[in-house]
Amino acid sequence: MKKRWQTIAATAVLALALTGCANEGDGMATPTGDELVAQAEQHYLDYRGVTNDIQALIFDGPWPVEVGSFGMQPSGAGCPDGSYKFDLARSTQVDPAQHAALSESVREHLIEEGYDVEGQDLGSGEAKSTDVIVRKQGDFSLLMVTFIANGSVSVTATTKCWPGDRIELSDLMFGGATLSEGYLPREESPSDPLFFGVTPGEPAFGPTPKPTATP
Amino acid sequence: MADVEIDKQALEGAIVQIGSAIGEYVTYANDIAARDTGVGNPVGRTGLRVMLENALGQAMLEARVQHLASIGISDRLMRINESFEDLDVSLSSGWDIDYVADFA
Amino acid sequence: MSLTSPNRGWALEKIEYDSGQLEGIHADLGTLGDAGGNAQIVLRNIDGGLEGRGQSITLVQSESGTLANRMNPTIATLGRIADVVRAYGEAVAVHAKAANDLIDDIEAAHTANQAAIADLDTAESSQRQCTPDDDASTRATAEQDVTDAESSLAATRSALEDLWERWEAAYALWDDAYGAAVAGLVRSDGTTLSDATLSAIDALANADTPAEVTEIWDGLTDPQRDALRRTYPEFIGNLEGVPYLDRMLANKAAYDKIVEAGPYGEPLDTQFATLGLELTDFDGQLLMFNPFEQPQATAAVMYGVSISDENGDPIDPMEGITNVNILVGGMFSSLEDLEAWGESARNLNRYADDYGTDAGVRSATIAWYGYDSPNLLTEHTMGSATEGAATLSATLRGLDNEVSSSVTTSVIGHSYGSTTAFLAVGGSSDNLGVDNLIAVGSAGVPDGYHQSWTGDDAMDYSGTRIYASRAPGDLVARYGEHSSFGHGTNPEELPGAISFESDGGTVPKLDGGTENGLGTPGHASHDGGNTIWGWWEQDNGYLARDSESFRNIANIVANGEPL
Repeated sequence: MKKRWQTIAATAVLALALTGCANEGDGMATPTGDELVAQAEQHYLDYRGVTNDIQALIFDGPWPVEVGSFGMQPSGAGCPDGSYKFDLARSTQVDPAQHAALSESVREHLIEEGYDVEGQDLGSGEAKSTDVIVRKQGDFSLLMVTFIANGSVSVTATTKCWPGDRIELSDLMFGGATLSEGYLPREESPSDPLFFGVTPGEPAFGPTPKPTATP
Repeated sequence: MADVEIDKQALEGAIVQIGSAIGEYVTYANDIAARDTGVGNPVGRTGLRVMLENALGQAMLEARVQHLASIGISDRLMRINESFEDLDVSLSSGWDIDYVADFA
Repeated sequence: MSLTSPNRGWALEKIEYDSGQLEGIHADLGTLGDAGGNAQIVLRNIDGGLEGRGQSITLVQSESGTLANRMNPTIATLGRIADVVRAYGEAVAVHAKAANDLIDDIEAAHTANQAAIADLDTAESSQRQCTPDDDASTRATAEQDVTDAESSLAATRSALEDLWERWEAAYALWDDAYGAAVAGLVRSDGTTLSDATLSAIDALANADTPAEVTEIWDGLTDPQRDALRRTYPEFIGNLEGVPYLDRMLANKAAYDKIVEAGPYGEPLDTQFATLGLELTDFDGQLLMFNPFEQPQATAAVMYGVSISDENGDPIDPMEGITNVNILVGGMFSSLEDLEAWGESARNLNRYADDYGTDAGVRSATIAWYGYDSPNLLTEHTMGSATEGAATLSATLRGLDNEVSSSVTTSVIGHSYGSTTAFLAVGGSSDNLGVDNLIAVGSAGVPDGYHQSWTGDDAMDYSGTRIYASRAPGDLVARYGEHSSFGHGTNPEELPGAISFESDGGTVPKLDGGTENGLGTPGHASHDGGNTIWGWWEQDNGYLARDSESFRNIANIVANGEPL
């Protein structure tokens, strides 16, 4: 019960591709320090722009946030040594009757932006799902919107891998802060301003962390 | 000058001794930490084996750190030894024996 | 046969130990201590014997003296560990041996007793068939037969009881020695402890089940618990039965302590750093942590739970969780791979929650790396799986104790992880609280207990639903021929197993590396080249978010069936 389809973008040249080329051309040496942070921030803002636009098409109010999949934390999973990526996930509930229209508008938007779009149908009944998929293009290894018949919609994105040491980058961005202690919002709208990195000791979304909690 | 040579030998002897004594110590530690403890998982219990492996592993790491520190000491002794040679060459006879390092 | 002792209810099984290895370790610990002592003498000679003036000389003197002193606690600890090993070694050589030596006799006596019971039955029913019309000699014979059968039974019963008594006595002495060894190791760092703390350690070390540990932990005073958290976080962090909140906090404290005492060189330093980022950046909670275990450090990280609320106050991490999943990977090369498995764990939580919205699913997933992954070329795959299965069973029992039975527990074994997971669940006398057992990309699961673990009984999966991803027919056979567990079983062929679709992913190759599972095009292939677009993320195959197998697993977890 699985179907797949693919739509080739009308425009053969992707605007993002040119940008990507230009960045990579002189930047294949591994950045460190401030340069690493600056590049990472740009990549973050770029990809979040894309995912925010998609989220806005589906629901422009607040989506719940889970710390682990917030999408700002650099990860080395699946990347060659000495490189990092970002990984994001957001889910919300919509009226299932809206799915066809919403998935169509997401598809059209992505095609307009120059992506080749694939699709996939899986399952049946309440577990039937439709995926709108962008694979290995632009800044993305996998960009996917999943519509499940029970009303769940998720936007998930794994970016490609960029050169840089992820341990160093995390240290520069977060200074060892435990992000679940009030450093990230509990919900976020696509129109909310983006930020990059945190100030250790000054959680912007919760009370000042107490010393290690003891029951 | 003969006294200076004897002391040099004692100094060189110490360098060798440190190397072999702590070298032996860390080699044994590495070996023990890598071995099967013989505890197994009797009737499915894993706690004792895991704790013993951890304890031996930790001791091994401490031994390695101590071994590294001993290399620093050996290096320093070797530099002292080398400076002896310079001293030997540059001084004339009549050098005061009290200024010479002495291994009792 | 699986028998249980009449008074203490212990299962009749061989107590595993290796006297030769234990004696060897004890002897070598002595040699190691001596070598350390010699090194200290040399160092103190330099400190005391090097006379003369000059900065260089003073410095090397004091460095030598300092190093000699720094070696004191290490050597003292080694001595205490040696004492523990000696005591335990002596105890097993006597008590475990005595218990094990009785097993055959008990089984024979049990059989004889059963036969005597049957004989008495027969004699009694014959006697009941006698009528007043039968002649006296017939009736007398029937009566004599019953009397004879009764006295035979009395004899076999008494013999069996006597053997059981001796076995339980020996087993109890071994059990005590085991607990004493655990307590001895906890205290091997030589810290002086209060009587209250000592008794808490003893009680916890001697508890035989997670339920017992929970009871003891609850019964401790606040000062006792605080003292244990402060002095031995690594002990209580890994002890099944201690509440998860306490374990997660303790393991984090142990982790911080260990990192601060470093560095340790590679690969440990990078492994610890990577693990730390899972905790700080990705909201992971450290459920198990054995940093110095050989040959590789092991750990388990749980995702999808919180240990504090918005105000920073502590909460029960398992509150509100409806599903717990354990990911058991097979081809880990190091703790660093937890990074990728952590991502899979978070993906699973999200998709399980999404597929299970109507049922109010809230999923938590443990990325579990508790054993040494097998090296295809050089190691017996079954050896690693056996040891891993023992540790996984302990984790599952602890989980079963921690959460209510209404929580759905799913174990997902990937590749050789499925060997471990299936051995753990199928090889246990009960289902360990596991509701769903899922094999994905499996190279075969064991078709019987491995000898050195628990005996020769067949695998028993009753109480657990089994799911297996489709694999090409020849895959299991190929590995089965070369692995040390003989032919192995294709999990799809287990009775009642439900197959689900999987459109590819990578599986291990016999000569190392990986190959496509089903050879289907698309995302089953690895594309890690340095292209003009930069590096693309290596494909996870079976557990990629867009893969059919992953989505099947998520729905099995959430709704109990594949898509």
